[in-house]
Amino acid sequence: MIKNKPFNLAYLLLFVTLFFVTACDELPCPNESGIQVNMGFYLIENNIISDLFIDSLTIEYLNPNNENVSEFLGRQRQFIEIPLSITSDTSTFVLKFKDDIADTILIKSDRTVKLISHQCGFDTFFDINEIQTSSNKLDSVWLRRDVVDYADFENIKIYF
Amino acid sequence: MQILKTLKYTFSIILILLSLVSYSQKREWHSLMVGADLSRFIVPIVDNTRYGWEISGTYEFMPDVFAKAEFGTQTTRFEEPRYHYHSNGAYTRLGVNYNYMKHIDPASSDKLFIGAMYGFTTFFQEADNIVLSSSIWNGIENASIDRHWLAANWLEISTGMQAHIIQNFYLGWSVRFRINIWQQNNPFMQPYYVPGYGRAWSNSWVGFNYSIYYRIPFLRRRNNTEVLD
Repeated sequence: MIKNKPFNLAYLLLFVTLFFVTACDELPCPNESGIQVNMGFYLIENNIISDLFIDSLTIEYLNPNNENVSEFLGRQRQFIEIPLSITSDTSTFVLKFKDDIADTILIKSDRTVKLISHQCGFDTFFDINEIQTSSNKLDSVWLRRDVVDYADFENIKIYF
Repeated sequence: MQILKTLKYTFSIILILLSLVSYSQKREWHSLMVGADLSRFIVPIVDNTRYGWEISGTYEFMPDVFAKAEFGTQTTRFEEPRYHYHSNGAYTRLGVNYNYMKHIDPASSDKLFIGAMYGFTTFFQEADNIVLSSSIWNGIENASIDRHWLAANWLEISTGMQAHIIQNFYLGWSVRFRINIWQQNNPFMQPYYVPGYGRAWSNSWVGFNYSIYYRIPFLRRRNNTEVLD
């Protein structure tokens, strides 16, 4: 039988409060389009660099099994996002411009599989080692950020 | 190997505690209780990804003050469509409980207590059948994360009660608020559940135990005479 100090309500209040403080979920999953390389287009004219907007651009992804996939970007774009290959260390794609000129870009990268969260599952992260391009219309490229993850930073600058 | 290391640390700390306790054996008040967490048998029914066991030992080394040690294991295993996950580890909690219930009847041994504990664990985790696919590149890649060992420690404060049921048997529950002190992480895969602690991505967690205890009949010294407790 209890003589004094009946059950202290303060303890109950404390633990109920703490329970709700800890009842949190994981962060929401990152964007559904996955991890992509962010590229920007720039024009070099008379040693002056300016933003370049490209109209009616088609990107053709060159698969090793010759099942190429094309993506048409109708509206004017200065930035594009490209997914890299999860099965190969080399990703090759062709930029086809509306004047039927095309340039090929080859990106070599290291791949790392990481868990995003137990709710969202795994994804492949990349570390770009090397970029090769043709130069039909392209002038040069600058690898600005080699780490490819969910961040919205520009990875590659493409100069025309 | 890491579980053995955890056991080794646990027994070393228990030996130190016992040596402190033996110093106080001239006193008249002490009792030893061993317990098992019954809620661990309920958890797999509610959540079939987790199963394990937990035992405890409690020793009253001062009036209403109890040294407590808990040892347990936990396995987490689940199969998602895009990956299979498995972890397993052992944990130990060491601390002190204080009984703040005062009785009119001296024969009553029910308890209301608050306590503080320090917990630590070592555990491994691995993942396989990781399926990654890309519609753009028309490819499916299978991957796995090899087994690797991690460690964590935390503090917890608890409150609860313990009621005498029959002869030397007691039933009790406790609610524990845990605060993460340090948790080792793997750069490729965060753990899902830290054994003895809770969700790995949370810096604090609330746990619940519902245990059965057996009070071991114990010789105690009182005024230079020995009586059976």
